[in-house]
Amino acid sequence: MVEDFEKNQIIVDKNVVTYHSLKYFIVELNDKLRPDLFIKYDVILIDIKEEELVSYVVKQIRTHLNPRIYLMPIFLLSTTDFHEVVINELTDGALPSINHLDSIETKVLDIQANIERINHPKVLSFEAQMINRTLNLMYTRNKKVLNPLPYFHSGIGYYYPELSINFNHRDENGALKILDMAEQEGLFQSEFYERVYVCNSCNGGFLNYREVCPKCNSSDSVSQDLVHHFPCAYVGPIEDFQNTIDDQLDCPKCNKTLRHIGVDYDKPSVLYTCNSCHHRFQDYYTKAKCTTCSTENDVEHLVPFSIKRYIMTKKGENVAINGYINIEKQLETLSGTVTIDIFKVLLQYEIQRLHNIGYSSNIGYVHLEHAAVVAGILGLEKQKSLMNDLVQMLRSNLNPSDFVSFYNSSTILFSFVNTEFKDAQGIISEMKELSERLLTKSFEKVRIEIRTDVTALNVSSKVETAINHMVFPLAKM
Amino acid sequence: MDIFGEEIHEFILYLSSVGFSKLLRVFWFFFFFEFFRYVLVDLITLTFIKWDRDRNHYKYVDAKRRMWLELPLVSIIVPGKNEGKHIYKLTTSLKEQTYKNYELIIVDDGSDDDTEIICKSLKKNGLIDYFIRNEVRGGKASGANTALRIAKGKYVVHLDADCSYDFDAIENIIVPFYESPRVGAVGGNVMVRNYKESIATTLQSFEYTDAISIGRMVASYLGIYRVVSGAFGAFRMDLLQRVQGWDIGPGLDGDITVKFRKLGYKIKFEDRAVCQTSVPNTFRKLTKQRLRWDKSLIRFRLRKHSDVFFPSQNFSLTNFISFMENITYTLVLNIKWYIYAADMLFNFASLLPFIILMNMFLYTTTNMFKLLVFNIFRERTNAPFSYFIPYVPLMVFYHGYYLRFVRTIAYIKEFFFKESYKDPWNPEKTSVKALEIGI
Ligand SMILES: [Zn+2]
Ligand SMILES: [Zn+2]
Ligand SMILES: [Zn+2]
Repeated sequence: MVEDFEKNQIIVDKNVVTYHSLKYFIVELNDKLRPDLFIKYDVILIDIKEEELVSYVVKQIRTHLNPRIYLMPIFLLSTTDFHEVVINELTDGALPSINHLDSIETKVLDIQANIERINHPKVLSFEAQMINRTLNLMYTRNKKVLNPLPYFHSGIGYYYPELSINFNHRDENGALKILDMAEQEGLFQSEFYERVYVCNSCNGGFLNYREVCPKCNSSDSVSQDLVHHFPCAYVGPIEDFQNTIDDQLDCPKCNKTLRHIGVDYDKPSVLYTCNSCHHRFQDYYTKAKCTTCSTENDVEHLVPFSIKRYIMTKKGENVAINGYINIEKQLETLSGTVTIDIFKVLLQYEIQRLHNIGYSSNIGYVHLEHAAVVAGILGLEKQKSLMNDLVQMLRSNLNPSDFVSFYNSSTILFSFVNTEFKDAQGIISEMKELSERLLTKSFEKVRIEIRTDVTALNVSSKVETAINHMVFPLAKM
Repeated sequence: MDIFGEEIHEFILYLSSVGFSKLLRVFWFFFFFEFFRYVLVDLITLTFIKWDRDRNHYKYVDAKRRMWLELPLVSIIVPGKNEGKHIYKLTTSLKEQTYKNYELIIVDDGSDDDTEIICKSLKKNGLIDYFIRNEVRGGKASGANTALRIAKGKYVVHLDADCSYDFDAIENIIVPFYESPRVGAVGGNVMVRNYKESIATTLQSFEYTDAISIGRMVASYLGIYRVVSGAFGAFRMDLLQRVQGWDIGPGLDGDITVKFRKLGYKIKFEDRAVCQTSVPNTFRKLTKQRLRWDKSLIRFRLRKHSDVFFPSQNFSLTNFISFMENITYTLVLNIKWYIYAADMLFNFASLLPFIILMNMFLYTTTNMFKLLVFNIFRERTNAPFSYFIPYVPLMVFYHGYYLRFVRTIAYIKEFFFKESYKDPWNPEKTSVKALEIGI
């Protein structure tokens, strides 16, 4: 066995091991991480002891755009026990040293075979990309159940590793929306597991629950027992009864000494005094302060989310292999837009009008490139508001009679009715420029690319094909 | 009716033959006590009040102006048990007030119903400023004292949860403090909301508008006004702190005013500060209520504050008169009436039917006279006085027999058996203590 290992092992360079025709890449502490280059290898071995760094490397791989990279087998070259969910759930195992490659070989081959079976249709929408990634990762690891894992770093307290890894913590609840969608599509069945509450204003799950003054929200207060002296009905905090000489409690009203609780006095209630505004109260308000956006949430206004276990269905398995594309119907309509179905109907009328002499119509799109990456950087909410801004910008450049619709969450379709193709081209290049300006203005640090195109319609155009034909180049990228 | 008509005729003949002195002899109780105190004194005093108000109207306006200028914080305190169902209505009635600078403090004294839930939600919605709940009941006094402990106002207005208030009630009850720096407490004018509900409530309403309201106006003017109603009373905070709040009830309303008087402050009745309350709708419930009120006279005037009768360094003539008047016109008169009844029974037995009839006639006429004439002096009523006209004859029985009888029972019970200490109105733990130290 050892000889066999010696014989077959070829060390190509410092970081690469080839064994039994499998190429292993060893990620070490001081390497500059370049996940793009991993495509040349079959397996990634991480030889790092620092949990945080390991987790970082895993994340870089598992969130990569290229399926060959994000599905790649990852093993830890380590005997250390890591506690990080990301590491434990998104790596495929560990081996004590490079001499134990045999122990993982079967697993690697199994994963590779699974990966080979998978088709990767180009999908545009962020939601569909997420669903595919999750299903792919699960399928290639023969995993049927997506369990919510309690995770300290998670924005909502629970983590679905294969999916949640794609979200930054502050909009991790986006994962729940995607799972919901997938469940509605019949890709998963679910079982209720837990309920979580998130911030009403930013959907963040990092909440600091504390008891605060009902008047000023300060949590700095002191409590006092109220004492009721029966004989004279005096009521006051206990220090009213204290004296400087001894431990006895004397009533300030009738000068009697308090003897026996329940007999001559009792403590009917507790009173809090706020140190910040001096308000006196008996009941704290429980408020949940969002550590992300600092909103003070009333607990009854927190947004509840159900955390469920998701079990992959037969359909889900099928989709894991063939890819999932039709996510468009779930898109919400923003103001100024129509649903894609209505868009198609209107387009049908437009094509009819082309029988009129000298009438010409066109359709165009504005597409946000790498929606998943953008969403990952901006967060879903910001991306949504960005799309909204784009729609408003488009609307102001189009005729009132033009119609706008979402093809998917990152592609906006619109018409140029009764417009010459040349003019439409002019308008659309102007739009591209405007969009890019809008984006650089809104997101200085993030480079977001925009693609646009315009197609002329003719009498023989079919609605579906016209649209598909136009957006087809996007899918090929 | 015919027989009676003849007998009355016979009686009148008899009376005219015996002359005025004989008339006084037979109806001495009415002429010397009731007519004198409740008609003559009232009428003269009311005339003075009216004259005084007209002449000094500018002073009242000036006091009001100074109050608005200062805009003192008023702490409205509402202690009570199982009053939750009334609190929302109370808060809406308070929201209508012309005077807005108040804080509302509700003390839940060990309620075992939904009071806590109701009040907490009202507080959350900003309708209540402070809500304190005592898990174990401590009695009305301790509830009020708890509120007092939190209150920050310059004046404290004590309210009952089941009352409602005229939109200017809070404003009007505070003004008297600005009329004189010697005013320590002001009593509001309680009217009967459910006066149409039953005979019992109608008669009580008559009693409130006449005997109680007018009686208090007169007493206040004469400086012998005693009880600031718990349903609606205003107190100076500094004085409440000096007397360290309310003492254990029942009768704590009367008790605290005595303590204020002992400090040398005036107690005012303000008939323009109006509150409406629902009174017991059956005689059974009314009897229970009055027994409690009447027992407190013995307990507080004769027992706890008996020092008022004796010369001491705190001796005050008006306090003495106030007490004496109260004792005379309630306790002594109550006893005197029995003497009168005995006198009639033994000395004028043959004339008894006539005497009873004549008494009824005298009282009814007096009541009718008061109802009509005193109406001139009322600035605000909740029921038209005409509503009560048919009930005037009944008032003879209500005032002359029913209330008198209840009072007698109460005095006997309290005087000989100290019954008020057993009243479930107070939690037992506090009553036991109060009995021990003799208050
Ligand atoms: Zn937030
Ligand atoms: Zn005491
Ligand atoms: Zn505070």
